[in-house]
This record gives sequence, structure tokens and C-alpha cells, in this order.
Amino acid sequence: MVDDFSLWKHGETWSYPICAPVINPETELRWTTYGSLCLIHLLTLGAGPDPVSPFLIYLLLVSATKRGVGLVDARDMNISLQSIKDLDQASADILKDWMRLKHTDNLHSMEYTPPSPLSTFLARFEYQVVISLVLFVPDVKH
Amino acid sequence: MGNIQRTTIDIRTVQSHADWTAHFLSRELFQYAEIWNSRQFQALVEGFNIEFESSGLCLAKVNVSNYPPFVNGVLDSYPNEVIRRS
Repeated sequence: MVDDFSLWKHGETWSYPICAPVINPETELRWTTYGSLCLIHLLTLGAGPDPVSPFLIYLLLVSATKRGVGLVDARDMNISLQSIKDLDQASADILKDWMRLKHTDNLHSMEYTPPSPLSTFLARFEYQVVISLVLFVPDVKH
Repeated sequence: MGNIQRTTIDIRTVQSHADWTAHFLSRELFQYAEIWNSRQFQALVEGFNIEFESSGLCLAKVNVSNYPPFVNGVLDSYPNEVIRRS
């Protein structure tokens, strides 16, 4: 399944879907099939279909339990650092600094040199952060 | 590069710290893609069709007529106890 390099990308530890903006019906059907295979593997063996990202399986399980209630969103990925560390040490190393930030801290504090894994991560994220602000600001609770 | 470090973003102005943590986390884990908004993910969810039985069993509901030929032999190799075919 994950050997299809046109549909899956491979990180250091896990494999992830490639999210192309447009997909044709045949590719969409292939993804549906992959979803079924992941589920059958999980139910049969009681383990995730390695090397598919366990975070993807987690999101699929959340979606299954929320079916008819609403689509998953970013808040469904709010899992503990320890859980992330258990599954993906490299990601946990990057995100631990972020999780240490207090609610009143600002990202300016990431300017320190030498750059930390988090500051490098945020720098790569520049464009997306601006987009996030645009999306989130209207929902600010004062 | 570097603009983010020159831009002060006060976390107090966003909805919640948890939202931001989740937002960054999900993007890092999924290679910066908003995966849950993608058609790929929606298609995966459609295929990940789990049925929770009152007995506590979990079954995978699969519509075998819809699947591409390459998967037919694969599905046959799994026990009927976990698959509800239609």
C-alpha cells in the first residue's frame, strides 16, 4: 500500500498520505480502499498497519466515533506530549519547546540563537502561521 | 525566512493554547498538510467504516463491489469475523 510513492510520502518513522489539492475518482476510490485495509488490519491483528502513521489511524478512529457528529479538526490532534513521544520521538523533540510555552508567552521568544528545533520549525512555518492568524482571530474569546 | 522571528505573535490573542498546539502538531506530523480538509482523508474515512456491535464486537463494513481488483484477493485472506461484506 505505502509503496505507492505517488500517494504516500515517507517520513523518518512513519508514512503519510500525500494531500494533493485535486484527485480523480480512481485515486479517491484507492484511498477509500486503503481506509478499509487499515481498518481490517487493525481489527484482525490488533495493531496498526505499520508503517502507516499511527496518528493517521488515531484520526480515522476519532472520525469513526464522530461519524455523523462532525468532521475531525485540529483540536482532535490535541494529544499529550508523552503519547507523541511514545510514537514519534523526532516530532516530540520539536514540539516539547512549544508545549513548554506559557499561554502569555509569544513566539518572539523563539528568536534565541542558536536556533532550537522549534524555532527552525516555526521559521519553516512562516506562511502557515499567518494563515492561521487570519483563520483564528475572528473566533477570539476576550 | 526569519519574518516569524521578527513578528511578535501574542498567544493570548488566539483562541486557546491547546488549539495552537494541536494545529502545529498536526501539521508537523502530517507534513504540513491540513489533512482533515483533504479529499484523501475523507475517502480514507469512508473506507474506514467501522461498525460497533452491541455485543462489543467491532466489524469493518466493506462494499466489495466498489473496490479495485487489486484488493479482492487481499480481502479474501482476512477472516469473516471482522468483515461485513455488502
